[in-house]
Amino acid sequence: MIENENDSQNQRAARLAWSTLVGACAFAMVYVIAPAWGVPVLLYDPNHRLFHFATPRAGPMMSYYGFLLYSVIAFLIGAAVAWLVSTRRRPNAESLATAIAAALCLVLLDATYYAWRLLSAVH
Amino acid sequence: MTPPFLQDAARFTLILHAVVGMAAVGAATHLATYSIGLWRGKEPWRWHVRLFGLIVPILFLSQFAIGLLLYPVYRVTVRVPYLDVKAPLVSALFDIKEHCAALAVPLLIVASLLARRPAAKDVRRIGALLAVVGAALVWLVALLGLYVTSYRAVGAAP
Repeated sequence: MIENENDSQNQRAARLAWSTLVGACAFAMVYVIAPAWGVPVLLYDPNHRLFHFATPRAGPMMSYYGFLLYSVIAFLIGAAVAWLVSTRRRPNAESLATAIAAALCLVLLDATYYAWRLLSAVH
Repeated sequence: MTPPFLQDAARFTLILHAVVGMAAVGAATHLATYSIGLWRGKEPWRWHVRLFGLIVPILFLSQFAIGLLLYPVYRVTVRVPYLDVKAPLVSALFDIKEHCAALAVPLLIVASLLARRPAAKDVRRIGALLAVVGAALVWLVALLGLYVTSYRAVGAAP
């Protein structure tokens, strides 16, 4: 009985880990792809305290909030879809290892890409 | 032109941002340390992992939210008139810090969710790995933030 309960808790934890890792992958992908594509986004004008929805341009308008919002939405959608998928197909050790590797690689790639882009613009 | 949001309370908000940030660095480091211990079989550390799994997202998301509130006043009073002109490298480092903070959010959320649940060893290993990388990013964010602030902070005299 206790063993069954532990098994079910482990399964739930594995599903949670897998689905949130898929969400983290979606977050990291949208975080770098959306600004690169120049999609319309929520922009904030700090000088007039106004929000606009437009394509980002150089200048005082801030696009960081909008792209962050896109990434958070991608995380939530990715995690929700993965959670639903995992009811049919339980994640095993291999799929968990793939998900963690993908999430960490994407996050580190994003950080490296932004560091490279920003630092190379300075020199 | 309207003064940017929070300009009058910029110094107080910056100090709050720093204090919550220090606490977040400590909590993330504890979560990483205890998660490694739990993964390596130290069952008594389970309680600590659960506790820091609750504290870390609260502190880190609070710190991140305070930073987001301060961003407009930083942009208008520090970045554009000072850092972009006199210290563009420092301005770029601030942007890198912002990206690292954003990228740490999903990692720490996942690590904290896993820390709150009983799990088998392979899931514990994932939680520990995420907590370590998340803590490293939080440290990097804090150090870059201090470095940028040492050049010019919001609320500085003109």
